[in-house]
Amino acid sequence: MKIVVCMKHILDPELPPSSFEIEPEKKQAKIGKHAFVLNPYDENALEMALQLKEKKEDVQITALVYGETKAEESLRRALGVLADEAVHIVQETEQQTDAYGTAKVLAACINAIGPVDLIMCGRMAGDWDAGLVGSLLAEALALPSVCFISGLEIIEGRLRVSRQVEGGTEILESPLPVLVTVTNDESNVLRIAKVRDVMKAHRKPIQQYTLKDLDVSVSDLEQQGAYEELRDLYLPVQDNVCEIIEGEGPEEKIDALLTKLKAQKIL
Amino acid sequence: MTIVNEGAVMSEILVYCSQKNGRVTKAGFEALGAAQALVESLECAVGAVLIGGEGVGEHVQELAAYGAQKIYVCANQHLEPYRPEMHLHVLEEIFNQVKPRLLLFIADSNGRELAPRMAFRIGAGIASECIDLSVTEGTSEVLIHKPVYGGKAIAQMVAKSPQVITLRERCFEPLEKDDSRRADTVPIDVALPEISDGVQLVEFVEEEFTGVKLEEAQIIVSGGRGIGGKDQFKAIEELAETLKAAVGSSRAAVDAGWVPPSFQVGQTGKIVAPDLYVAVGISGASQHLAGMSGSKCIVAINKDPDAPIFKAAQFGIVEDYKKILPGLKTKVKELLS
Repeated sequence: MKIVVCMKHILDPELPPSSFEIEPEKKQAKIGKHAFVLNPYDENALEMALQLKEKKEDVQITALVYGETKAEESLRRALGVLADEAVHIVQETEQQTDAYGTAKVLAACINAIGPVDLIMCGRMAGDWDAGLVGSLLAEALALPSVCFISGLEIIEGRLRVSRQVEGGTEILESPLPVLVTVTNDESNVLRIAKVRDVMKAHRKPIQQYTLKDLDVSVSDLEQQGAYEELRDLYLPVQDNVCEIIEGEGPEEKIDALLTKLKAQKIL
Repeated sequence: MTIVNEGAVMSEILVYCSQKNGRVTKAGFEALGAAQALVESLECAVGAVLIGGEGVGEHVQELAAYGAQKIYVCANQHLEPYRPEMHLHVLEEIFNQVKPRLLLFIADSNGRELAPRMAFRIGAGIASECIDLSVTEGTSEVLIHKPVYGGKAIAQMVAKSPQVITLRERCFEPLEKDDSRRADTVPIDVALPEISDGVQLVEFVEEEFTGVKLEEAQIIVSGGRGIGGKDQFKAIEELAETLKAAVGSSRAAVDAGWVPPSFQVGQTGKIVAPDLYVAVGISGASQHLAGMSGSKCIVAINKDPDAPIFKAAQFGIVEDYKKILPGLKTKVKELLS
């Protein structure tokens, strides 16, 4: 059984707002020396793939990244937790790709890799917060999809997943091949790699593709092919002022807080 | 030469109305409100799409009361329970009949999965998780406003027309309900595809629940990583009980296994807007703030004075929560008795 986990290498979403800046002309986040990480929801997807591999024989996991050269770090991380293979579609610096473009590139690559049984994506990436690529990719590959899953097993060649929705959990079944997008749960926090495996991961080969290799033309992804156009990117206005409740010790602070909440008729 | 008058063809904004437990969700009315706000500048009418089982047509008058002028109803026993493949099939049919210029979905679990698939099928531009829509002055161009980088920045974008857009819950005002409003009902009769395979619903496991629901709560007490453990989380539950409040959490507390995912408040959890939100041991990651910043009053209790949560809060107590919560609970009890 072949699983492809689609991943994105992004500006660390944990970066505090106080350190976050924008380059207005480029309409981009200022990168500076900030860390880039594997998108957290992709970590959840990768962990679910690894757990399936532990339970089932003959599972092959391919980690796939579309990104600039430095995105290789996320692939090394995946190899470190024992993904079997790593594939890097190298994005030219400054090459902007919207969700459609990304889905198109990933689809071309997955078709080049060959028959795949299960495609897993994080539910959204913590930079553009759009949550579109997974579903667009399913359409591009003409596959069924299930979004926001947090549990997965294979029963008699069929996929059984749990999908978190408002008010409960749906248990769904699907034939293979299928695409799923993954949401966070206690059960899918990515494991920590063993030091030895991390060392080995740095010597493992990474299969590289350019857009040209995949027969995707840059003009497909730029202006005439783009479905979204970014007009502006700005920092939200912070006009909130927090009143820090002062007092000698906890008791006084509690009293002061309750007095204020009462005065404002909140309690 | 043929002159194509796009304006004449694309004269509607369509809203897909999600349903839960046999009712149109409140968010559906918000989306109708969002569409109504554009009617004047776009010279459009507002159409609602209602897809579901045999009885789905009974919601028609309610949608009209919230501002739908045309309601496309597709009622069929095979359309319930919800299956994306079926709903997409019907939506595509309605789209081809109506040729709307905007197709709006709510960014809930169904809307988030239907919208991109639908956009792909009809070759539409797509934008997701919008918190505001505006029309560029002097044009009929719809500008989409959405938070990015977990809410640390706001992007304004334009999607290729026709546009498919998902709207974040609780960001748009529904119209005041007016039962005298009327709408034209358009029954949609579509041959449904034979889907013997594909994704099938096996079971729906309802959330086990005691106490106040997050979405309906007027007060929420929420705990984060700073709480320190599953047992310690009881302090949050006790304070919530005293306040008749719902219990929420940050993503960190879910990932640590202290609370189930249904407790998660934030961009990918529940979007809430209570009168009072008490954030305990929550640092205030942007993606959490995105789910609760609409609260009327936010109180933050955190021992780290630099925690970003204080930037969003109206009142803050800089102290270890363990020193505050027991006393707070006792005093609230006295206050409310």
